[in-house]
Amino acid sequence: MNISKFVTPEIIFGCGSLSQIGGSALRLGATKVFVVSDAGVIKAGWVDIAIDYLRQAGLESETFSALTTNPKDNEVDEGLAQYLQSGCDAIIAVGGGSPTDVAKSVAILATNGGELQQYEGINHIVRPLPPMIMVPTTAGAGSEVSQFTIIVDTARKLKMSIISKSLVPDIAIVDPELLRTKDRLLAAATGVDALTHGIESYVSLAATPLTDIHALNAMRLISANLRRAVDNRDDIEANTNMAMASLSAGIAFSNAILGATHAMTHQVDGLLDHHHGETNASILPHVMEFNLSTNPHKFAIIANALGKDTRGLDSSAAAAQSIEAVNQILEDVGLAKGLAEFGIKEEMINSLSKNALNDACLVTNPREASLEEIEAIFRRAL
Amino acid sequence: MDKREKLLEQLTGVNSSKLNYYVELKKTTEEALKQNSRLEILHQLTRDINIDMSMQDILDRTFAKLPQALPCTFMGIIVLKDGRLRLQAVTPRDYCRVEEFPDDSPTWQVIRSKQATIFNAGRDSSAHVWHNPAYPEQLSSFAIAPMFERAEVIGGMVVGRSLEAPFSEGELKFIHHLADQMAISILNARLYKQVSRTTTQWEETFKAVTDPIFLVDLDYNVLRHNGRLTPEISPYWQQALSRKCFTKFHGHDQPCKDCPLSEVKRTGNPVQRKAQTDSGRLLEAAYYPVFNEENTLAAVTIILKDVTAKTKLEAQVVHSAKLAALGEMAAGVAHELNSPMTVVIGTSQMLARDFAADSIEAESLQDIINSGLRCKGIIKNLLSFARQDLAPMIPTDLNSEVRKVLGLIRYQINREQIRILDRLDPKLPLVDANGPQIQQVLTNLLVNARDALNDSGRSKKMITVSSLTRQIDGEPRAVISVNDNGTGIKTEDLNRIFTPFFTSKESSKGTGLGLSVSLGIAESHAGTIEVTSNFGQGSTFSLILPILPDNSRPEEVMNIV
Repeated sequence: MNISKFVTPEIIFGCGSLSQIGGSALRLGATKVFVVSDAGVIKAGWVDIAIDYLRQAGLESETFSALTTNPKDNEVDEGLAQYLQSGCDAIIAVGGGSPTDVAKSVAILATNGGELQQYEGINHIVRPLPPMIMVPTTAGAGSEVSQFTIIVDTARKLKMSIISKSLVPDIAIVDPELLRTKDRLLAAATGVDALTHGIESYVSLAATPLTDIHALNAMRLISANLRRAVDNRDDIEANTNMAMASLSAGIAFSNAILGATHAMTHQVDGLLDHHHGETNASILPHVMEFNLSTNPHKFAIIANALGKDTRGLDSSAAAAQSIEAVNQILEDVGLAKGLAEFGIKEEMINSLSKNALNDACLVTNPREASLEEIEAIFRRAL
Repeated sequence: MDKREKLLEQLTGVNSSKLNYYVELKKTTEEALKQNSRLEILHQLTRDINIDMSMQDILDRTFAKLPQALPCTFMGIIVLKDGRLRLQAVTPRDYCRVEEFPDDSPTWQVIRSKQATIFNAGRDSSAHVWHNPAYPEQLSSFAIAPMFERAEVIGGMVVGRSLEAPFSEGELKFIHHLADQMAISILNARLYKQVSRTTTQWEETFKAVTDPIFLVDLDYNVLRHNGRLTPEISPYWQQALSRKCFTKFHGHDQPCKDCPLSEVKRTGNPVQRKAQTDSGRLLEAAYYPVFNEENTLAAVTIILKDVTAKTKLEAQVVHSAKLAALGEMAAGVAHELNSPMTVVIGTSQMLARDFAADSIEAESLQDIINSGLRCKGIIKNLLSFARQDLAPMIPTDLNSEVRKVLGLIRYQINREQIRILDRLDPKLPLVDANGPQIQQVLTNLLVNARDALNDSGRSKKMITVSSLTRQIDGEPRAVISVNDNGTGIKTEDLNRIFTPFFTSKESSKGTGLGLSVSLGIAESHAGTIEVTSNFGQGSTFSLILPILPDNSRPEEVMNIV
């Protein structure tokens, strides 16, 4: 492709940047703010702090937190009802990928109406959304900068991808301090999610030099900081770097899109309600192996970015080093597990694969995959 | 691969952007402005549509305004009546015709669903419509909105367009509002017509009545009237500066004494009054109370009725009845008297033959015979007088009628020391008359003259009965006049003496009917009664009758006096 496009929100980054939330909301014209979060984040105290900052700016707010990991369409409906009733005119998410995606979905329905299913796919949103500010408390999802929202269709038991430039939030406030309160497993899982974003967007068919910079930056930061961040939850430097890594990965994948890993994990998550980062960990190496031959050069660069020395190796061996590096990281953060461990069984593979074939993320996968090939990858990942 | 590339393009989205509120706002504002102009048109329509317009006029007016808000080619109103649809009006007026709306026609669909609906124009939807080829452009779409009267569907409004894009949902909403507005206008026009028809009917009813009718409030203000006035009221009515009834009717500046209104106010019941005007007409006034919704007296309806003619008729009826009774009695008396009188005369004549003609007895008997004959004459006159209604109109010698009357009453009158002079013109032509009725008139005039003389207290009392021929309006007339030198009549009473029941005499003496009945008789003979009088000096009453064209005198009638 000769013409490309690159979209990001306004990004406010830095320790203590949460304090900017009130002014940011005011600048967007908010008078009453709908704060979407989850129980964990509320318990950690970040929502109270955010609301306090909002109050200082003279803004009223209402909080919605009735949502779970891999958020469901019915949770969005509840959120929408509360939003419409509250009289709010701006939406803020304080949390990981789940609250962020719910916030985006509420925003879609608030101005466009109808059912979320109507907007599944690319560019089906017809009206502008309310002002949105996203404050991530994990380093991984990248939803705070992306044009995606992923919601589980409870009837069909799969993740719907809704993709639109209108879903890119107005402002992302990335405050590394907020990462401190997530637990070790969550730190590992979200970190691997960010890693997957980086790798998939880097080899994506839609990758551009602009996205490559961010993808590589994310991979370098993750390989250098994820282990530290998982081991020491209070390591502010590691947290800051992971926050930046997640942000970069988010910017990269939002513009270059993802690949087969996400196409497949979306189906597993829809079925089992497991953390997205962990499923990514199980599938990513096998997809990399499947894709390796399409662009060995880029995979070699991935190996370098992840700290592998590929000097003297031929191109395919150098490329293979990338898988080695990923596996090492997964091993080190304790996520080197097969899908079987989460309850995926042989008989589920066929339907999972069929759904994966329809996932938008598969479009940008560097190697076209048939149903049988997807099934084969699933089997290897068991 | 094409599909894949297209998807890729969509994902990275060079040609998609985050939706912008400025654009959205512009769209909303534009829509709001359009909506405003539509509202303005609806408003204008309500103001514009006159309530006495026909449905076609309303439609034409609306259509003329519409292009600003809703471009369309034609517009129509379909009315549902007795389960049938009819194209009531269409603009342009010759645009199309519909004889019959088939069951599956779009209009029926809308009537049944009660939902405004957009249809694509085409053969299927409009096969039942004859479309004037003078309008060649094909319709692209049309919309039909139901029209309601309360919850009931009374028809539909159809709007069609040919050139522009098909109707949008927003336009449909407007069409719906427009149909509502039209329904209201049509309903208003109908109600207005009904109301005004009812009002006009009542007004016409009242105006048709020739008697004056007034509606007067409790404060004596004339609120309404039917435009009829009596000649007495007219001048006051024209000059009155206030609405007060006493000013408009009588020219007074305060309520009349004994105003019937106060009686109506007091009793709440209708009041009837009779009054005689200065011109001698009899008016009957009825005052009917008018109650408002709270059942309290709010006004009074006054109806004036000129009962002069009616009263005259009544008087004649009363008089006729009296005469009929008198006739019965007279016939009886005459019959009873005739036999003994025949015996008296016959016996006297037989006796007289026994005496010498110049004997004192014969002379006395001749007196008896003469008096008997005179009695018979009187009886005969009395009979014919009593049976006046039965007598036919025949050529009559008025002089002989005068003599008959004088024969009857001369004695009575002479008894009162009144001299009667008769100056009868022997060449008086015959008139077509009912003799006994003429006698009745003369008797009346003579009795009146006698009464006038008796009241005068004059020493030389005199009645002169004359007959003569006089030229009136170039025609010869027979005139019998009765002149007296009695009291005379006051000028202000002159007009009223012919009014029934008017009398100047004490009630024991007069009925007040004599002159009115006499005038009635004169008029039934195509004649009249003329009066000249000087108060204090005497009066002359003249019975004037047309004469017969054949002006021959009958042979001399025997003078029975």
